[in-house]
Order: sequence, then C-alpha cells, then structure tokens
Amino acid sequence: MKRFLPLLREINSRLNLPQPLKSRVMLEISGDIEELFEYYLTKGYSETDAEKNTLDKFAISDESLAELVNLHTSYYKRWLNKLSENTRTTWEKALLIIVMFIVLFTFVNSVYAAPFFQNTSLFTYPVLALFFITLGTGLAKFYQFYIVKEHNTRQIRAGLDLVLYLTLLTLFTGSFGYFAEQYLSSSAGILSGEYFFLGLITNSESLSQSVDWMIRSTSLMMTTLGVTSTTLLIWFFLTNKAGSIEEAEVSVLLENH
Amino acid sequence: MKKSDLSVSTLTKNFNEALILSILFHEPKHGYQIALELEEKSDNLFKFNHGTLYPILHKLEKEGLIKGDWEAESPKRKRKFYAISSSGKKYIQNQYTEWKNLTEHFFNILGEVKK
Repeated sequence: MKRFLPLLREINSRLNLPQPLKSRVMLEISGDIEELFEYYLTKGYSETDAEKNTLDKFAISDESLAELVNLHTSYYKRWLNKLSENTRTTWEKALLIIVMFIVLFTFVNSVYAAPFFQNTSLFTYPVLALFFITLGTGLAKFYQFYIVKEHNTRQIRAGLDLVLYLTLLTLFTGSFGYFAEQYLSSSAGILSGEYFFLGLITNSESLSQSVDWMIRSTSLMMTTLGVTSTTLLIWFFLTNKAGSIEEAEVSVLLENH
Repeated sequence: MKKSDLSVSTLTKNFNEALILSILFHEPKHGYQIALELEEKSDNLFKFNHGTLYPILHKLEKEGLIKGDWEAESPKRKRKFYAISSSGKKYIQNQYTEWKNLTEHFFNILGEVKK
C-alpha cells in the first residue's frame, strides 16, 4: 500500500473536510485503490502496469473533490474554512500575533485608566461576562489540544463553533448597547433626535451630559472591539490547530492502513 | 422517496446516477467494482474515472437511494460497499420508463435525417 501513499497524501491535502468524515472518505478511497491494484494483478498485469493503471483511474480532479466537499459541507462551513485557510502563512500568523498584542495592550491600558471605565455603560458588563465565558471555552480547547493532547478526531472541532458564536454575540451585545445608549441620550434631550445617528449635541446646557454619554459609549465600544478581536484570534488559532491535528491523524491512519 | 427529475438540463447527472443504480440493482458492490463493471458492460464506452464516482455515490447515499456499509476483511483492512435501498429500487424503476420515453423522443427527432 505504501506505493500509493504519495497519491493518498496528495488527495488528502486537497480534501477539505472535517473529521471524522475526512478519514472515512480517505479510507474508502485507499481501500478502492488497493482493490483495483490487486484486480489488475489478477488480470495478469505486471506490478508496474497495474500501478500505472490504478494511478490513471484515481487521478481525481479538483472539480470532483470540490463536489464531494460541497456535498458534505454547508455554505456557512465552507466560508469559515476558507477564512481560516486563507491565513496560514508564517508572516500572516506573525502579523496577527502582533495585532493581538497591540489590541490587548490598548485594551488593558484603557481598563487601567479607571475613571474612564468607572462611568462606562451598563452594557459593558454583559459584554465582559460573555468574554469570560468565551475565554473559558477557548481555554478548555487549548487545554485539550496542548496540555492533555486529547486528539480524538470526533471531538476535535467540538466547541470551536461555540467560541465563534459567543464572539458574534459579544459584538452584537456591544453594538446594541452603543445604539441603546445613543437612543437613551436622544430621549433625554442630550442629543438631537433629528440627528440621532450623527449624535449631535443639541445645546450648550447638555454639554456635560453629552461628555458622559461619550465616555459611556466609547468605553463600551473599546471593550467590545478589544474582547471580540481577542476571542476571534483565539478561535482562529484553535481552528488552525484542529486542522493540523486532523492532517496528522489522517497521515498516520493512511500509513498504517 | 426522491422524485424523478429527468430533463435535458440534468441529463448527464441523471445518466450517471441511473447507471450506478442499475449496476447495484442485484447485488452490493465496492466503488471500484461499479466503475469496472460499467466499463465492462458497455464495452469500454462508459469510462469512469473513479474520482468522479465518489461525489455521485455519496450524493445517492445522502438521498437514501443507496446505503454504504463497511466490511472488515481484517482489523487493518476495511472496505466500503454500497447496496441499493428499496426507495432506490423504486426510483430507478421509474427512471427506466422515463429514460425509455426520452430516448424514443430523441430517436424520433434523430430519425428526420433518414427521411
């Protein structure tokens, strides 16, 4: 079977399916390759000719693989896979790490500017609560991947989508809070209702109140963007790690087959 | 059961599906056996690259027209084989009538060249 390992590896690298489905498809293909090779041998072909014929029959086109992937993956999953796959070069990863540190530094620095956050919007608290839940979920996966190294192919991607959904929920909560603050200020006459989305100050008397509104909204949005960027990066790295574990598992599986 | 949808726009798709279902009609087979038998029975007219077979097989399996199962020849050697389901049998029997109808119309039109 080792003679078809390069072909199987090549198909495996192009087959963008989650585990354990990918292993099952690869096992099916490798089984058929082996059987076809043996069939040609029983028909009196030499080993070289049998191998050549088998390789010709299993030259799987990109279209066929794409069709297979589309069949087993929803549009949403395909989009997510594309997103994490498009950012796999070393310099892109390095750039992401730098961005993550800048975001974290700015975020932590702002948090320590206590007066700014003492007057923050009430919506900041659900945003932070969601962040800690997401962080907990991410850390659990991190523990699974790096500490206990539990690489059960059925469990690898479990919980990864949750990190993404919670991140989106955090972003939604923060954005909702921002507009709610704007609406409340508008209702209280601090901001002009007419220029609701522009947030124009109506008169000089409401200036101090409008400063409070600005502090509330800005601190809320800073928190929201800071935490969502962080959790998105966590999701991205975990997804990449899951992908590399799957690749390794399939390679081992095929070599032992 | 999947509704039969034979039309000119889906002809190739239906053609491949009908061939596979017919090959599986009497006994279960492995993917590579289906391709070999198709070549053999058509005197090499219907040549199947095995790669094109998998999306069709998996689609038919998803639609419940065939059922894939694993047989373990040894702990390290597992093979997948496909068997037609009862709804698959009904579907291909309906398709038979439709294909017959389609080819009759096709030859009626083609027959104009002989007149």
